[in-house]
Amino acid sequence: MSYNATQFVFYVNLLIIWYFLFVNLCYVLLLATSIPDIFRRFRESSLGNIDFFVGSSAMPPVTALLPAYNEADNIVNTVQSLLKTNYQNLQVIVINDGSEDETMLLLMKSFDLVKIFPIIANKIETTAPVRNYYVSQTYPNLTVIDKDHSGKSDSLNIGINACATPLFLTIDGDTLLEKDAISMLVYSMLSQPHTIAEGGAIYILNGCTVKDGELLERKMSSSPLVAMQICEYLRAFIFGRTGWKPFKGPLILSGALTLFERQAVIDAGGYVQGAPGEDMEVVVSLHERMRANKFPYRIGYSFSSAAWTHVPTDMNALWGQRDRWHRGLIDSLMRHKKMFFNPRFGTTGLLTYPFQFLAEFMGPIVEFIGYISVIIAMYYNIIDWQFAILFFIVTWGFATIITLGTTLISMISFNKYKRLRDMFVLLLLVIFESFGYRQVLSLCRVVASFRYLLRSVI
Amino acid sequence: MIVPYTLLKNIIWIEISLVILIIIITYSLKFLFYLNERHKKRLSEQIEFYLSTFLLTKQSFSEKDFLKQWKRLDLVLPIIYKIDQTNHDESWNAVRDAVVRNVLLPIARKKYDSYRWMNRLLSVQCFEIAMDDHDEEMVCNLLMDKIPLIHMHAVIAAVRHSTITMINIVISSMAEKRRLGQTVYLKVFEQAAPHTRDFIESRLNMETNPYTRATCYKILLEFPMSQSELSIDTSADINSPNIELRLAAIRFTAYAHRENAIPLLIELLSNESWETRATCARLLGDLNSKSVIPELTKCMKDPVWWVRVNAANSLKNLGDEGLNVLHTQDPNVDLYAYETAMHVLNKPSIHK
Repeated sequence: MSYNATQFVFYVNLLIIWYFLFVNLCYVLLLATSIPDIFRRFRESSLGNIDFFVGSSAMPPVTALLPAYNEADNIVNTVQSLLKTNYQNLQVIVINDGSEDETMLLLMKSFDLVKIFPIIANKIETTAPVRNYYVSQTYPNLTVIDKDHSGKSDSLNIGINACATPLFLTIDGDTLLEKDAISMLVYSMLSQPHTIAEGGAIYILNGCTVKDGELLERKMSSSPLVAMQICEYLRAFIFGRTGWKPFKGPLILSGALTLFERQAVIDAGGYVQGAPGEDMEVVVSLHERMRANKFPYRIGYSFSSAAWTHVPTDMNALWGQRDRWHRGLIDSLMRHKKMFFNPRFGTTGLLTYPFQFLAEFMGPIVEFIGYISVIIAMYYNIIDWQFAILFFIVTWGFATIITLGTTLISMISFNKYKRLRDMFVLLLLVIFESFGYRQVLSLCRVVASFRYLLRSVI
Repeated sequence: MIVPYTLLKNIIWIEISLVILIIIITYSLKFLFYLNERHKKRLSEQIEFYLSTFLLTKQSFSEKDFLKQWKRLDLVLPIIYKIDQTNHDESWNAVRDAVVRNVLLPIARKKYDSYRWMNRLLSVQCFEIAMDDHDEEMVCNLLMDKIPLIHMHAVIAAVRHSTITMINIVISSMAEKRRLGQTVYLKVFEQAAPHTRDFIESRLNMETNPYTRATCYKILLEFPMSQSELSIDTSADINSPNIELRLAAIRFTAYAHRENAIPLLIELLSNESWETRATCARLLGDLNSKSVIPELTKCMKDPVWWVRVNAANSLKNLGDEGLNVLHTQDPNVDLYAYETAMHVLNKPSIHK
């Protein structure tokens, strides 16, 4: 190998080392900024007298929007869990997105639906025609919209047009809400001025026992793949969301449980059709619009409000899900690239957006270049194996600190996994996550990035 | 080497120390939380037991037996709320009133301007249950609180203990709110005492701000209509250049005067503002008078979709005669009117 090539490989390795030290340090800082809020929420839930709020007439009306496409396995349980929440002022709109399975039939049967003919204001442009509107005779607060298939964004826009309340909640077709989830979410939203969106925490439903929309037993799935995802979710929903709160909020809130102020979403143009990550896209649009117009706003995240959702159980499905998520992330970042290091967008433009770009989008690519360059450098004796191992231990140590920190914070605050065995398994997984699982998901993100970039070039 | 071995080794040692530190801190905190929760639970049980003895023995409440460590809003308010849900008899009302006035109100008065929003929230929840005349100023301050949860509870307290000062602040504050705040405020007025209406009427008579006037009309619609509403002169507001005030005044007039408002609404169907025409078309349907069918039929040809759709919806509400008008729309005469009729009748509207 020539001298120049050796120098090049050496400096690439060095750059990657500094990149990872920097990114991991940022993650540790995010973990630190999330701790005060988690304890604040914990204090709220124990001292905030939430029962008084739930029973009072100060509860604003909320509409839950539930887009469903081929959700026959879960739809009845999800709707039942919504109807059983302790939030009294709730309307539920299920949008059947042209399902090809028995979703619509099950809804008709289980909730005794009859056809209605409402007048809907088209505040947001939609594409698919609505076939019929139905209302339940058993639950007058349940409406079902049956429409042609056009995707989740269009379904949500149709739901927003049909929604007549100032707040709406998005929930996925395979998600179960905890009884107090909506109350906690509204309580959190109203406990800060100018909040336009508030996200909730998502836990993994696989392995839990469910009956008639109620979660009877919370336990970890015995599948290692699902258990690994539990670790990831805990980490993402603690520091990935809460850590950004001091900077006007995160760029991503899960579509499985997020409360929005309807007018703010309508003003931002609703959900973008064709965006692979519609959940992120709508939140980034809200940030951009509010920052550009210098409106006072806040996007919050409430760790105390919880929903449980199904996650992929095999590697193919997981790969597909992460591929879509990562393309959604890149797509949103590209659509709002004018925010990148733009002081006009405040901390969102200077911190939150660049971090998502450099750590979440670039991170997997840099990681893979790192693996290749370390192998080359070791082969040509540019760096020795002791150094490579030390560096691996350092990066693995950072990841372990973050995951361990989030898992333990979760344990002492809003602990959802009561069994001692589950906690022990979680702590073990924290250690072994970096051996294989992390690399496979990084590869998936790299492939997703190249696919997205190739598609936009060709 | 720019990243020397020693630096990496030191980082590893820092990481190991951090892991140990995180475990120690979290488990210490968990233990502290557990102790705190246990202590709180024990105190709550003591208070509940203490209050239930008054219910059983029917004795009158004595403040001196109420221990100092029990005097916490976050402990007593949930218990009162819990007993309220199950017990409605007179003896409990007396005990509750005595506990609130002698124990809770003094704490609420101290904490109403606390820098911690949770304390202010607990104070306002206490004022919701009971308040004295001299608490009015504190509730007025809480009505201006920047935290939505607090000012929403303050509105409940203000409407429940309705005084002219508090109601006036509620009206002013509501006029500035976005739709979310206005929805909640209006809902609170559903349970207002009848005399509150007099305060709103007198504000309407004095007020010049169009948004505040519109708010007064909206609130008045939450009360059962009476003779006094008929005497309110809305003519100036119906012609106001401010669209919000104009629509609120039209709605108020329609519901206050019912059939007598029909000639005015028909006249307004030719107003140049489409919002006014659309609102009137909708209100004419709500008043359920078949005499307006010809006017609504004319509105089906309006150039604005919302006017046509409101007129069509009103025709649908008027029963067979109205439905007949919708069914007889001819696409060759007026395609827009035909499509609107089909939309309301939920039939396919594509005509070639």
